[in-house]
Amino acid sequence: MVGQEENEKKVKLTPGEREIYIDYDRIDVASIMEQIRRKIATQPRPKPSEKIIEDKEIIPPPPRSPWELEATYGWKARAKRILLKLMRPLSPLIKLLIFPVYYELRETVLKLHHANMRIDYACTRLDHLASKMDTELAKLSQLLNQRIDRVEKRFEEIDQLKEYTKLLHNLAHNLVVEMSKLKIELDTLKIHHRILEKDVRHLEQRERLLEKEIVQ
Amino acid sequence: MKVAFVVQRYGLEISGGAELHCRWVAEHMSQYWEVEVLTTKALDYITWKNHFPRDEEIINGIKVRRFPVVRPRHPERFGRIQNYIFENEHTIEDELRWLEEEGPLAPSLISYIKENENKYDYFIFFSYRYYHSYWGIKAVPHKSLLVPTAEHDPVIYLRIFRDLFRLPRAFIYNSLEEREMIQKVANNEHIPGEVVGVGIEIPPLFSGEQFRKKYGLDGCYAIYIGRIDENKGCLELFDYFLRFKEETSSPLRLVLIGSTILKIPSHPDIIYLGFASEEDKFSALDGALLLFMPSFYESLSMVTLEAWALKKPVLVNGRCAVLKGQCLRANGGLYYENYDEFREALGLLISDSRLREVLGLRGYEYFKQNYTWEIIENKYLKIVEKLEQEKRT
Repeated sequence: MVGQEENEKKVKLTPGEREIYIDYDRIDVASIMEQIRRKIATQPRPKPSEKIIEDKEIIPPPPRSPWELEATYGWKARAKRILLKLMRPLSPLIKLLIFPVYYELRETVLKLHHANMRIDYACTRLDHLASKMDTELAKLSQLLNQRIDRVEKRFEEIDQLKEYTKLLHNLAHNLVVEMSKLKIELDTLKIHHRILEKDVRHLEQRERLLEKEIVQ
Repeated sequence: MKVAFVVQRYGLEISGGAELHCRWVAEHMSQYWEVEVLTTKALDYITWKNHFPRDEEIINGIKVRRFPVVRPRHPERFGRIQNYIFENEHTIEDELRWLEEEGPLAPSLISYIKENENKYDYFIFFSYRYYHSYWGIKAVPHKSLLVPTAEHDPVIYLRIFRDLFRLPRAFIYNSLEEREMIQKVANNEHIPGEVVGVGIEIPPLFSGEQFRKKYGLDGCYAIYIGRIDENKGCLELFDYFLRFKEETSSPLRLVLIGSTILKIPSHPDIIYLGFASEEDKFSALDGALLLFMPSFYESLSMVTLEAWALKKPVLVNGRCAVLKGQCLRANGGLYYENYDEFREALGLLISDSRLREVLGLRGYEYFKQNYTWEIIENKYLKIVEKLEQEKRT
């Protein structure tokens, strides 16, 4: 068992592991799990690696028209396009007679390629936005959790103050009761005092009378 | 009173699940009732091939009648039909075909129940999803009690079972979550049902120290006991455990006990011991820091109760409502729903020995309050007594 305890100590603990409050006398799994979840929420999320960021930034925006893509296929393609432009008045005939299928195919391929490029670009933008939002959300969530913590602490303080006020109220009430009792007691004692004074006076008179009688 | 326990497989060779549950309950209730077991001749739960040659035998003092499986299950064909009904619009006939393919197809068992209905006062069916329960309950609905052992998987939503859940005289549930799920599926709140579960048999002799010596295990280890299967969440457990080790450099080891249908990752800290005897199993549990229960589908989890019986805490899959509910009710363990929660919960359990001790103790108290055999037997007796009273009035 000693070996076991030693092994336990070797485990690298994140500082947060000690932040979880556990009431061992009244163990509550729901509360522990809630604290674990809150702790996970406050942990910063791993940032995307530099390579991923670079990869995302490599993708350039697509050209406006699919035909601009021809430029990427070299001067031959460009020349072909210019020739086709020159022969535009005859193009319906050329299309029909010479290479309609090739032309349609080429157009389709270019459009598809262009669409793919646009989708890739849109995806990259979306990823960027998502990662930005993710970071912002993580910050926001961290801030919110901090605010929640502060509010909860404030609530705890308010609760404590409430308790303290209640205690003070009780104390004041008890003091009033005790003072009233003391006042009544004082009045009673005063009355007793007066009675006793009278008794003393009376006894003094008797004493004097008795002394006189003895002297006579 | 004569009671028949009807179950898909029965025998000392079967070490877990509804079959073991049935055997234990039958053996314990035999002190109050005349008990018989009606089952098939199958041993293998994948093919249901006839294995036991005798029609009748006595096992631990209980008469067992066995009926032959007329057609073993063809796993590939069954998988095809199952995929079809789970993924497509289908009819009741398709579902009945699925049930027949699932098996164990033993029509003589159903015929026997029909013909000998008067010989028994009650039939207690185990596992709602098999052929014997569906047709057996349909044959004797007014005398049947069902121990559904239902898990939250797609099968529960099949239409044939919605009707089935409205037939028995009473239900014997394993957990509150199981009752809630079945009542939600079938709207059968009017049928009496008790949450009972099962007791645990703890062998008289076991020792964690001896287990450590026997297998040369030093240092701390967590344990998983049960079938090593993807449905049991083992793939996820391996992944989470290895990530945890990589991130924390924890010396914790993972010991696995049970039959496997998965390739276990080759890692020096994952130790697979295969099938173990009850003594070895309890010794292993006794020596462990905690028990992992990563299953997605459970109706009770007997091994979790076994861990609590030995005052061991558990770390369970929180996506299984039953396991999470049990942990929350018992306060006997933590749960996780993703890797972050797994890492934090396991880290906390490893680092805080007092927490482990208190969780284990709470689990033990929960076990004592709900799962001792005395309590289980009384619950069974009360249910039957209530049905008898209803019969008289």
